[in-house]
Amino acid sequence: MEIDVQNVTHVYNAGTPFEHTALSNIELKIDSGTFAAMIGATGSGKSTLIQLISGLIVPTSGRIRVGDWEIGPETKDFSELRGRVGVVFQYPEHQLFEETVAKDIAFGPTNLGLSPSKVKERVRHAMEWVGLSEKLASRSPFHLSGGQMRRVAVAGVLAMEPDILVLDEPTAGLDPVGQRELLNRIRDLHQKRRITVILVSHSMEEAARYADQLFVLNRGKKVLEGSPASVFATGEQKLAQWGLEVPEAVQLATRLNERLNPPLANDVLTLEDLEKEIVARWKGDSC
Amino acid sequence: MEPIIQITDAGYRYDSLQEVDHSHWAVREVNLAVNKGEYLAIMGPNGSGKSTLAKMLNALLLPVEGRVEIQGLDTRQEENLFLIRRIVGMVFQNPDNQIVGTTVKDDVAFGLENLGVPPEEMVKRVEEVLNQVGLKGMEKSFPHHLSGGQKQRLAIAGVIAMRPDVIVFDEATSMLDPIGRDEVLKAMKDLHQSGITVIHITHSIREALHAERVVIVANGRVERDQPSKELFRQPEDWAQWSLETPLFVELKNRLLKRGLPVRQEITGMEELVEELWRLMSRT
Amino acid sequence: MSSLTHPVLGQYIPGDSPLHRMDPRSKLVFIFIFMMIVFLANNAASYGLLLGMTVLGVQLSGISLSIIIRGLKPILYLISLTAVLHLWLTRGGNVLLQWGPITIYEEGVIQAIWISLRFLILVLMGTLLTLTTSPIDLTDGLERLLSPLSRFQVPVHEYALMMSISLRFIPTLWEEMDKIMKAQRARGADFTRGGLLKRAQSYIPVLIPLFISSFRRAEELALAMEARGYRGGEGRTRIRTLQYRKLDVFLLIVLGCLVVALLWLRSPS
Repeated sequence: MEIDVQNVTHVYNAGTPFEHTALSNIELKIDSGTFAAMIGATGSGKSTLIQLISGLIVPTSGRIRVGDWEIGPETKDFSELRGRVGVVFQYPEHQLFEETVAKDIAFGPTNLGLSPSKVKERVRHAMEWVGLSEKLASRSPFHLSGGQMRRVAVAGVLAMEPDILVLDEPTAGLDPVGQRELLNRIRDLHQKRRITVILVSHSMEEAARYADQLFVLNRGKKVLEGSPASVFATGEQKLAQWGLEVPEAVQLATRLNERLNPPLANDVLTLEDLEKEIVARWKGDSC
Repeated sequence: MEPIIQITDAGYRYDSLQEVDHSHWAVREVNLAVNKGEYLAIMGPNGSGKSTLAKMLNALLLPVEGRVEIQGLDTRQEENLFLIRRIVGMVFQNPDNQIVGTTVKDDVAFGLENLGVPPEEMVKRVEEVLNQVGLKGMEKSFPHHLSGGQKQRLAIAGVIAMRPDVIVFDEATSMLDPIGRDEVLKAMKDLHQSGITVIHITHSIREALHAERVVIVANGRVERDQPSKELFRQPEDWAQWSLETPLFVELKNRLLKRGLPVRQEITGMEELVEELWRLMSRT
Repeated sequence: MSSLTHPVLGQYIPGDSPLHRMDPRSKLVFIFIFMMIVFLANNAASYGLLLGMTVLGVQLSGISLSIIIRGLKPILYLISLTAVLHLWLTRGGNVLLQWGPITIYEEGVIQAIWISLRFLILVLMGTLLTLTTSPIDLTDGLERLLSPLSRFQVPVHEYALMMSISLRFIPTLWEEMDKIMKAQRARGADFTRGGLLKRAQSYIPVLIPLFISSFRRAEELALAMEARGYRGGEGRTRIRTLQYRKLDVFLLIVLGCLVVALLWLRSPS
């Protein structure tokens, strides 16, 4: 499903002393099947933007097209959008409420009006996708570890089988191993099921590793978009002004390229790229 | 140097109501001395017991075995509690859940009110510490209007107003964005420079490297205790403790495996860049 | 972001008017006594005096009349309803109007006017208190006024602390509820459809997480308070010092004069 954001502005508490423009004149397009990342410091408006795309709030002006569904300031009924766009909020384990893991995951598909047997199947698949053992299905979600609770919450969204999956800081508070595992599973799903993923993150490392398209927001405006390599080519200083850090691998490559003549042959985004480039250069040099 | 905190064979066990038989040791056989004026990081993954250890440092948790002494005061002695909490201040993980006051000023004053500081003196100290953490002019702001970093700086202000000798940061950066995190890290550095003993509990190696000394805790035990400069002298399997290996260490290891003659004892990114440049320009 | 920012009846509006500057204790005492002496009024002169006082209060508060009226709207229905009931049910004096089963007496009209006026004056004065005194100051004032009760084992300090912590956390919990509602809506929950019971049920997925998080917050906050040396009200000092000023003395003198005037103006019944 394609997403087209057309000249969208969003103002909170309009007409009161607390008026605050969260987004102004945003234009962006995300093609179907993209793994996109929305990056920006706190207060950049990225969280407002994903709520608009998910149909949880309506824009003050402008339009948002999600597939053949359109959201404008006047939109009231979002029922058609539910189930097509799944949202994993920050610390999603804080929304768990059911007695058992399986029941909690079933909440979304049941709301979609699916038959009990279909719901059951969805729950089973969703648990498999996030790597939860079947044995946990009848356990209370509140007696699981933090990492497991996070997976239950993500499974609850995946069970709706959305075409677009929005993740707001999905790895916050997880340890490095848990972070990597969760995002790897999301990427697998993205590749296998061709869903569109929108990842909201502070971490440029994550954006560099997983996304094919980055959108950089700053104070409610879109300041940059493009492939990770092109965004990082903007330079550390410029990105730092927007409260963002360049991934360490890119930093290291930049420092190295400042000295090497000629610089490394290809763009570097991750540790693996760096390894490959340096080894290639070394082998090329020594023979 | 006289240690300000002395932990001897300390252990702590949570008594879980559901699984009485499986109550396990969160912290066990910990020996640790913290010197006055030190900047120490206690690093470990989630569930390693580092937060339990942190809460034992100002008697929020009392050792089930062994001793924790703060300036010679045993934390298990009830009559020492109030004094211990004046000596050791604490900044917690969740910025929201440690702000008591309805305004910035009220919150900073909360600890002072508990100490029974006279109102005129309080007003002076509140102004002073808000200045120190860069929240001047926000006295009347409401906590929920502050950013994550500002909330943590408010918490720091509330603690330093009580003039403690030690401040423990119990994963105080883990819920913040990069900007907030840098704000708090800078505050730690400033506090350390002003002579306060800083103890930073974290799961991030990058953050731990800001400290002078790093203690690694895993499965409730102290696994390493060394100056941060020496952290990378020996090859170390960081993954065994579910800690993230720093990029330059991982890269160095991978390049060694691929047959590049990189020096083993590299302690930072700049050094690795230097080394790689040297290797590649030799030919 | 909280959407609870439109003016609500009596929501505090910051300012620097004489009413804002008065000590919350004297305002509380004033309102308390005022509420009782309103019932002394029983003729045009005494009601006129009370109304005059109220109008003067509104003037002094520096708050625009439109805000006050907007806040009063829901109460106006209640006042009109009471007035109509009095018109209809009170008997006595000349018959002014007879229309089918409805007879309206002179006494009914007078009663309706007095009752609505009394109601209006009470609500206006109460609103003035909360419009010009922040909830924190109100809590503070109440705590100090009631502190003698702690000698009789009434935990005044604890109640006051509970109040102020609630005030501190209302916006936080409000934001959290908004977030959880959005998350559950994204999972297909619908809070607007169905009958009352169904709608109430639809809130379960919001309320359970909210309770759980409130408990967690309470636990962490208790720990944080302990770490900052909290050990009950004993030996605590306060940064918020309350001080009676000339303005407060003046207010209490006005109150005294009002009592005397009302007793004097009161027509014998």
